[in-house]
Amino acid sequence: MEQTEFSASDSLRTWGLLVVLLLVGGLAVALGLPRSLALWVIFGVATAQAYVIGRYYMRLRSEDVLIYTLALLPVALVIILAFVLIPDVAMLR
Amino acid sequence: MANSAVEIGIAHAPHEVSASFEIGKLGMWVFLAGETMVFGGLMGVFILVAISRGGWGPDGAHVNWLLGAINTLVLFTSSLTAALAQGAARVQDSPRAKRYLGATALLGVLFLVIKAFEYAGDFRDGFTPLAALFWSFYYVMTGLHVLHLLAGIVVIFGLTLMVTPRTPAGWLERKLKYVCLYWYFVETVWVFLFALVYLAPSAG
Repeated sequence: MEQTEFSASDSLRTWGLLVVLLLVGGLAVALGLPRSLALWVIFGVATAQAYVIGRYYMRLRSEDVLIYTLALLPVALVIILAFVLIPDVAMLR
Repeated sequence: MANSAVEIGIAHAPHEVSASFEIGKLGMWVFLAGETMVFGGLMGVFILVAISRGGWGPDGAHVNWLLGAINTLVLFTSSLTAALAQGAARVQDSPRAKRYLGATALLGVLFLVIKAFEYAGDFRDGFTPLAALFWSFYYVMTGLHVLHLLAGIVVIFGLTLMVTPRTPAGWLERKLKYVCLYWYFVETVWVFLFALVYLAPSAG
């Protein structure tokens, strides 16, 4: 299932969106927001940027379920890995 | 099997269109899944160690997040030129695709040059890989990313050299699909590295 045409203006719009998100993340640090709020903004922006790249540049919006599985399975495994390591964090504290 | 692309799939009957996948694309996604585990594992451990220590404290405050932001902009622009190269290949404009590909590789080199200046400054200020745990993570994660970027640059430069006005459009479009997929993945990794290693330790 190949995706529909992705024109030069679509590419430029995607780039513009990524740059705006980059500015938002940078401002969260430059404006000296409270640390917890800044962290939410920073990681929210990073997730949004990854979504934009995946959806529009990597064409995930038009991929099959197999590709989605391949893309998301390692992310799920990494999250599981982080969870099983939480006892070690508690031990280190 | 159009355009010599090898496809696999389950054909139910001769008249049915089977769900088929290009082997090259499937292989690239399997490779990227492995790479996700490598970078994801490193980032996961980095976050857990940061939590266990209550943040990175002054160790993480010395990263130059402005240089990191400039590099992020460079990578975003390189992905734009990569997408434009794909668009040019789709309309069978090989010379324009070649120019955009060359620009992508050059922007990748610019990223490496900025990173080299950044590493040199860090070393000059005494922030070596053995200076603190944060800096060990910093060099391992960003160094691994640099190696991936370097591999991408070599492949993109190679592909740029191979493109001639007589290059078959289907061949170029397919190669670009795989190469750009890798390049976008390296960009995605950097987005999270920038948030984790540059912005988060500088926040608050």
